[in-house]
Amino acid sequence: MPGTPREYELARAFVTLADTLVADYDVVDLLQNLVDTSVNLLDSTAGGLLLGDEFGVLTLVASTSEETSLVELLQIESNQGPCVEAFRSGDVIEVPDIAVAGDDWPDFRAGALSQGFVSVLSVPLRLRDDTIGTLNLFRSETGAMDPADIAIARGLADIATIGIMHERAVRESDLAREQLQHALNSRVVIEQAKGVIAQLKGVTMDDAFRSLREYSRNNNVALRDVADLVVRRSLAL
Amino acid sequence: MSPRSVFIEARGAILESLGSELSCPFVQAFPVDGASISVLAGPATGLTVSASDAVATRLDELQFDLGEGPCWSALAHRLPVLMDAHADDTEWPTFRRAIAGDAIADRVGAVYAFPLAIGTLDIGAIDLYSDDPSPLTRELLSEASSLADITAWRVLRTIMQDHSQDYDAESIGYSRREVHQATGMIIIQLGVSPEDAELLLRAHAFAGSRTVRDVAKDVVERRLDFATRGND
Repeated sequence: MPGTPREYELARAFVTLADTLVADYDVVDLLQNLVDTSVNLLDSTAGGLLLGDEFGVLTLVASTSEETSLVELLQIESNQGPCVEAFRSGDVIEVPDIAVAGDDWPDFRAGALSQGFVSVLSVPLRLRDDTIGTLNLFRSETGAMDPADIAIARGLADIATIGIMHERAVRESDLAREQLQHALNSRVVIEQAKGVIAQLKGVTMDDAFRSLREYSRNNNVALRDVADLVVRRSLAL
Repeated sequence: MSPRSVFIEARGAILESLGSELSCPFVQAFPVDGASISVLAGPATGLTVSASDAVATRLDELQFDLGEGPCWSALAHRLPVLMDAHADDTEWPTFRRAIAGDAIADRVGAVYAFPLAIGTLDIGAIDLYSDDPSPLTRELLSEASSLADITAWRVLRTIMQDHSQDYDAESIGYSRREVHQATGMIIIQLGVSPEDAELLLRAHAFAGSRTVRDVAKDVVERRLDFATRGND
């Protein structure tokens, strides 16, 4: 039945994501958008996106919250857990019950359960043989995810991946790698900007990030560019 | 008051000099006979970065071996310190006796020490000596102090250059989010550039033989402020 709110939301998510891919997009904004959209749409409570650097080491680039607990969990996941498996194999890895499945990743299991995340889905960001990172969705209920939801997660991840990798086909250059490096470098400036705001305003890192995002959205300026201005003291939030 | 041209020249020389030449601009800009620059904190403690002559080197050695003298006081109080070598004074008695009994006794009438420090970070001191017991006017003192401030950055960069590899090795395998967040906080605490803020963070870790990540965590959790002493 067409026109249900869910379908409307879905269509809007794909359009928004596709919109982000127009000429001037910033890859960090694209990935942040992907995480937020996926968690909103897909019956999950938190999420994070990790990209592989030139050495294949995963680094957290975007998450639904900047709270230390979630960030730390995702950092653990960059070393062990379903995320690493999805990244290595290029397959979707679903863990319907972390409590009984996580023998190989004790730190990840302990971290996830302590925050009430009992199941997780790791979706590779993959184009043909290239896997550039993974999208991870945490849930507060055990059990397999709706196959339709998994398909949607793949679809969203594919669009983002194609957006990043497409440039390579067009320009026959290392732009895709540059894009990834740009995303990782952006994170440095964004973290510094959070520190600047946290020190100036006496707020938490999470609140500092929120004000960065708010300014970015309201003024239609890429997150990285806002962060640059803040770090150079040209913009006070 | 417009700065003297010798001061400006000296400042340029400090900014461009290599570590070992750092003391020369002080000898050229001020009516003193020699200068030395030494590290008095962290694992590099006792390192003489630069000394203009053998007397300056000896003065440094004596103070370091004895653990007392104007350089230590200058760093502890963050103020320039004057010692009149021939005055009957109770401060630094062992150091005074050591000079009197040393071959350099006739050459040393006064020692001026200036602290090398950035924010809460202790680095070391500059010693200027002269056979004249009171060579520096108030104006020259303030000039020397501001040259000491830029020298502090030069010395810090020199020390940290030798240890950049430790840092790189340490950073592999974990996300450095908190390091960058702490860098952002230090930018504000001391009003410095991101590059200098990160250098200070590394230097602080190096001085305390801790990991950068560890110190960054203290900054982010507000247990450590680079602008305020006492909570370190």
